[in-house]
Amino acid sequence: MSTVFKALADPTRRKVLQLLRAGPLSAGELAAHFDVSKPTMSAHFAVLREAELVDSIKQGTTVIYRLKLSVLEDALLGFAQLFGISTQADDGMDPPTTATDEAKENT
Amino acid sequence: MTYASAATTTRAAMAVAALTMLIGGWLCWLLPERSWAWLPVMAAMPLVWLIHRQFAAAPMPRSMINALTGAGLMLSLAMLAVALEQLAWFSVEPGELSKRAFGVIIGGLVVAYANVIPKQATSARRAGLLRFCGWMLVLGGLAYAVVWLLAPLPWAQVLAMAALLTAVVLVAARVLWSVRSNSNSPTAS
Repeated sequence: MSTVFKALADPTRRKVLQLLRAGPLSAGELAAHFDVSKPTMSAHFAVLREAELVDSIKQGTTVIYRLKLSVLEDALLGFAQLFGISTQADDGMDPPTTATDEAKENT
Repeated sequence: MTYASAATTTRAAMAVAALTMLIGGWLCWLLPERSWAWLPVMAAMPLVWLIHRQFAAAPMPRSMINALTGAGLMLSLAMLAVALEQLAWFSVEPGELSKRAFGVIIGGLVVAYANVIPKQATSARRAGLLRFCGWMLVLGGLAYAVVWLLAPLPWAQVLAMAALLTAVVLVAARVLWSVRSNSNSPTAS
């Protein structure tokens, strides 16, 4: 459960989930909505994947992300957005990423 | 769902197995003439662990551990209701606590299974449908459990069934509507 809370604590990741509500989007399309570096976005995607809140499919050179929320997670996301819950450590984070991750997400 | 580590899941299952045996033992002491009913329940979880340990080559999968934990919790809750009724701590009608506990367990089961329905989506179209189905059944299951917990006993069954049935009818209507709109769309084969 802690991975889900960690994933939902960050406003950027919540915005990613919100964008995915409309339908699947590529990593590039999602990154275009944020003013953050690609490695940072890549780390955010990794956290969401680890919490199993999103599903990723590789189509050629593009990674497509799709929402994968249970009802409880959906409700938690709604509450988090309503009350703007976030942890101090997660706000404005710029997590370290590996070169492999960055290369993967650049596609 | 990555909710807990494998070690935590195993510890939780063992704790639930211990709880089942403890409550079972208490019931054997309270109602010795019905020990034949509680002893198999107490033995069930340790027996599954033992059989798996003896015959399975790989460690027990997490899904199986979770299923065992769920089963143990249901058995514990049901036996606890019987035990509390025997102690007569609450002034309730005979069999009321067991009936209410059973209703809460059924409602909880509906919630647990409906909760993961949206995760099974394979396309955007199905995602919307499964999200609706999941939400409706979770709310229906929740209402079922709450009604059994709080409503007056003579009304509980009717109200709980009405709540769950409403959810099922809404889900069926949405599925039918989705199938109809699929077959009417020009791209449908």
